[in-house]
Amino acid sequence: MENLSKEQSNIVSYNNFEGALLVQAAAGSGKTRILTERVRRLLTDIDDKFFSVLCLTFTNKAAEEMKERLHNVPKIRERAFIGTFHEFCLGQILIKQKIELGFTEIPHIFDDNDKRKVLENIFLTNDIFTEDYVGLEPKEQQRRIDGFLKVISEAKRNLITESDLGTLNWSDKRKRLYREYNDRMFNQSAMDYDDILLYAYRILTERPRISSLYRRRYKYILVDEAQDLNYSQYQILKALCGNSHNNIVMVGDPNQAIYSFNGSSIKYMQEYFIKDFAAVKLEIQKNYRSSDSVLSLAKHIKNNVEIGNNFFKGKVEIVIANNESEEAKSIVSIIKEYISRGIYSEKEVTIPISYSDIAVIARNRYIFKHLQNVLDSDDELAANYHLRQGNSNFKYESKYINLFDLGLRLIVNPSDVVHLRQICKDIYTKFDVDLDRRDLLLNINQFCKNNAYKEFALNQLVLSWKTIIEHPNRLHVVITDMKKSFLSSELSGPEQLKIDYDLDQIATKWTNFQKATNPKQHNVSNFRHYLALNSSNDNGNGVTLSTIHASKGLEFEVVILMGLNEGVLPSYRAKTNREIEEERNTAYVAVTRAKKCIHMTYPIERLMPWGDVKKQTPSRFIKNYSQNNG
Amino acid sequence: MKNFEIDLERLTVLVGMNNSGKTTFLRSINLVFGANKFQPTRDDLFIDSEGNQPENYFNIDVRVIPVNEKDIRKAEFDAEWLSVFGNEIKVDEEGDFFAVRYKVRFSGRGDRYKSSMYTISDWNNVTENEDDILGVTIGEAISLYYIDAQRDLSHDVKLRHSYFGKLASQVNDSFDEASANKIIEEIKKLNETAIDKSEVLKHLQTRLAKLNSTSGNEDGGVSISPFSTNVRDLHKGMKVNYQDGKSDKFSLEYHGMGTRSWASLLSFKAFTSWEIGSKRSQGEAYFPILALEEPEAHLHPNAQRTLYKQLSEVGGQKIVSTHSPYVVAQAKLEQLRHLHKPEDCCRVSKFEFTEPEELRIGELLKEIEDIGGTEINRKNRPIIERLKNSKRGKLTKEDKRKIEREIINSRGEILFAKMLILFEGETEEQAIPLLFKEYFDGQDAFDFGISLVGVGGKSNYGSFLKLAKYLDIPFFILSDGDENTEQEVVAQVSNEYDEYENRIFVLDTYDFEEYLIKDSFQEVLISGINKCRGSNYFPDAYCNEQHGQKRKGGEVKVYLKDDGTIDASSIDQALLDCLHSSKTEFAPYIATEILTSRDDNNKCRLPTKVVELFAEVRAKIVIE
Repeated sequence: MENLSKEQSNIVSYNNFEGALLVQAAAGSGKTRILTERVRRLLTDIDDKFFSVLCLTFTNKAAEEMKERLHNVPKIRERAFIGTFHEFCLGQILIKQKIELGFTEIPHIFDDNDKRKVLENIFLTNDIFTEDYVGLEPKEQQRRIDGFLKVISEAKRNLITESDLGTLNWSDKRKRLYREYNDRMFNQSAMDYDDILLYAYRILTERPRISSLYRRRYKYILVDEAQDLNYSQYQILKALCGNSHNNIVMVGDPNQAIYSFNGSSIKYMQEYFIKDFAAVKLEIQKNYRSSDSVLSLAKHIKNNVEIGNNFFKGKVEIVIANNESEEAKSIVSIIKEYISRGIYSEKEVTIPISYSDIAVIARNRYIFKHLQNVLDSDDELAANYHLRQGNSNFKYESKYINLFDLGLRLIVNPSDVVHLRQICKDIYTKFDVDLDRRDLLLNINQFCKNNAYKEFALNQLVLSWKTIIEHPNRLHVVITDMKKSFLSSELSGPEQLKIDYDLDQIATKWTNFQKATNPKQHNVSNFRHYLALNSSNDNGNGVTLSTIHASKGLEFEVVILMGLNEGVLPSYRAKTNREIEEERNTAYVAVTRAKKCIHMTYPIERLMPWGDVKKQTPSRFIKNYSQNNG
Repeated sequence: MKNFEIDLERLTVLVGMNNSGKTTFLRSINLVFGANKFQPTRDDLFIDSEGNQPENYFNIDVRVIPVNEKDIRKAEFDAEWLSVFGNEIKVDEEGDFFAVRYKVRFSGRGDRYKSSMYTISDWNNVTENEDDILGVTIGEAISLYYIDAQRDLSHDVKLRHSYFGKLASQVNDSFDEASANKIIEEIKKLNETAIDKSEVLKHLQTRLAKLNSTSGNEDGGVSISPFSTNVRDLHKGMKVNYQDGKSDKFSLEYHGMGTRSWASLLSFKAFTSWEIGSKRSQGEAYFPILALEEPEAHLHPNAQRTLYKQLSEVGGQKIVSTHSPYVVAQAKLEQLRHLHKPEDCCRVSKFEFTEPEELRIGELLKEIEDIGGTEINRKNRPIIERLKNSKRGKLTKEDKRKIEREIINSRGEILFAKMLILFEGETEEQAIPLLFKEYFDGQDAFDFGISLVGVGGKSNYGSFLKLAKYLDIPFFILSDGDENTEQEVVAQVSNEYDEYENRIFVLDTYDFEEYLIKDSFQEVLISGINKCRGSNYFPDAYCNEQHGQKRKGGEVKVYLKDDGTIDASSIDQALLDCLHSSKTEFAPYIATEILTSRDDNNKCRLPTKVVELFAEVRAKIVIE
């Protein structure tokens, strides 16, 4: 049990857990805590134990944190699903009810790179599209592909199925391309990230008996970060609830809505949810997390923030640097100062501060460039920071491990054409759709014409693949074997290091996967699904470097917010009032990550990619902020 | 056992010959849900007729459906089962179901195996992909208790894992602290009294006290507890005493096997009803399945009947295998499953009744009436149509009543037959068994699992044929042969069977007696009559006595010539009249006497039609 304020506690069990409820909760007001306690009390306080709770979070990290806090609730695994929309839709709807879509095996997930290759291939091979593509500059070709990827993703997020295409005012060519893309994905038993929700939505709406099944089971539904709901997520919730189910609680903060570029909108929470579910709205404004100084800064940014009367006064500092490298240096000295003191103390209370209590946050990742250089050249800090990845895909350093991974993909999905093509390309063998995948993998030495691959190393891969084919649950054994054999081989030192690093990465992910899933389901196929949904790599130690978007839901004793210039935050792309307001939310999210102290830095000039030096002005969000305000 | 599929009732009664697969089936379902699982071995793999094991794996697929209080399938699982099966529940046209495949695959030469559980999405097309691996654990929610024919409560009492032991070991937890202390106190007093009053114990105690002096330990003590002082161990010394009527109460060990076996079943009943209650109060779903072999073992027929009633009252689902006609006679027809082994693999057959469909249709119609509107119509109408189709050709209530009355209640043993030979009359009933034994070199029909059944009238074949058809038991008919009879018999057979070539053997005469005369068995018949009535009764006494009397039809019997001597040309008619006058009386004599008939080679001569029939029977036996 966690300590809750009276205000929080009232919300947790509001109206005996019955009815639809919207909790508008400010940053730091204990959203996760409220959700966690609600799940706990639902499962323990209610006498009837034959129901489950569905708790949908925005990130895997938030879900893990909740699960960790609830681990001692009896039967928590059986009685509560805690995870993201995508995890729920893939693992609990698609895989379980795949037969409703006519699948005997669930399609494998293709990431953005894979999708890009599928599209590229359409452009190159389908006569209707080649003329618009082949003659173009490579950069222009990339833009075409990027543009269309966006169109596809948007359509899917709007739950457009092929039968809906008629209603769109798309050109015939675009419709054909959309169909062609879907066909090619389907034919190689693949789907993209957006398909997960689209397929789940189709099952829930086309098969009322199935939605009824989930409705009967999940008597209580909780949604975290509801301000960032998008159309497809909201429609899935509605389909899940049907007409009868309204024990649904949404928790969100309109001030933290920062994902409109993904189709998110606060209207789903604030308007539709209230209307469709007759939801009661409760507000909790008190920020229990941040010090008074941080709060006054937050209030300066978003005027509608309530300032609490918290114990700590904390500290807000603005650091102005001459240029980016000076900015980076001053950040390093701020970090070092905290570490050398090792504590934060105020009013005779002492709080220990270590690397992991500190975060450097910025609007975009490129802002970190200079800082990373400085950090990397510092003996102490180089090993004590990590860049928090958003939803990026992790890439292998070693060509062997990359090939091993491509092989795994073919093993779990023999219809996969994209990765077959990739293998052929890598080993210089002629691509043929009808190549026998097993034959290719198990005799790769005969196929490989690329001298860069050593024969004995390929033989080791063959052994590894063989093991996986026979025992899909023994990836850890394979990793250990590969390590042993590669690291005692004549491969070059750098190659060995890469392999070692890559294998450690896979091993860690496999371990996390094992922890997160049912032991019976530990196999390579499910591992791939897991990777697709858990691509963020946040197992780093030390100081966190994170974009604001990726820092959502996290908190740190000390936050250093860097690059606070006009054009960065707000982004130069934001033009309309609405867009500027979302940038303001972004700034608000950034500062409310801080518990005690926040240091805001900006350079007065910036080196542009084309070589010019450009004068910088401070962000409008802190322009008139006086450090003495707090 | 190969491609064996069986559907189960709340209480299912398995009948069939030995080695027809009953135990194999019970063992296999125990592998999936067993509370005490045993290890599968290579012996569990299918063995074909050449003695080979063509596959190194076996699958057991089980489908669980929700039913209502009348045990008819309903659309949705209750909340408690949703919580057990989770999102592994699938949906077909009629609603929720949960199905699993348990796969055992042996590797190498020994008994090393790997087992996997898959969730089944499509009952008719099971896939085994990695994403079909079952994601939930059923645990104890569905627990199958397999009780074999060797049960014995006097052993159970001593075994911790028996149902008696399991329940009894909870004794300790059932006391509150105060009562536990009180009991301990009382036992202590009891121990003191016992030692105080017994010279032997006192002696023992003093002698053992010397242990202290050897170990040099002055503070310790040695005490004897004739009664266990540990409440925890209370169940270990527990005894079950049973008083039979007026006799003295005495320990179960001194009772016969029958009582002990029965008591063992009762302790199971006590165990499950306790578990059902306690699991429910702990918020856990629980559904026990009892797999019981031969409940009749060691029991008197009356006790078998009572036992069956008690079985019906056990909670959960029951699967019972039996060889007892008394148990079968208690069962409902729809509960019966007939297991048999036509070639090298086991098959199951059962009665199919229109009743479940009718009940379900009724419910669906009621739903339409109660709820109204197009949605419910659209949902229920197709199901109703399907049910109407599947109702076709099944047994009606009247059919069921007849089978119960004419067969099950009085001749339950027919259910255990491998083959039926049906005939009409009393004489056949007496004669055929003897003729059979003669033809088959001294082996009785039951040695082959063949039941010889007199149906008691030409219009009474129907129920027997229905039984034979639904339980998939091969049959032969030896029928009387006047035109009407043949038509009537054929009509009854063709009602049930499309194919019945070489199944019906028609005596082309009015009845068996007339056939024997036609088949030149006059001597035998006459000697049979005379053995019954005294020598020379026939023809002399009979013809003289009956000459001039009227037959039933009013026709006058004429046996004598004008000179008073017997008319040789009317002797066959006289013989027939005589036999008809008292079939029941003559039948046993004729039956034995036929065996004295000799052919030209001085071998026993059997009636021609009967020989033809037996030849077919033999051919069929050889095949099987």
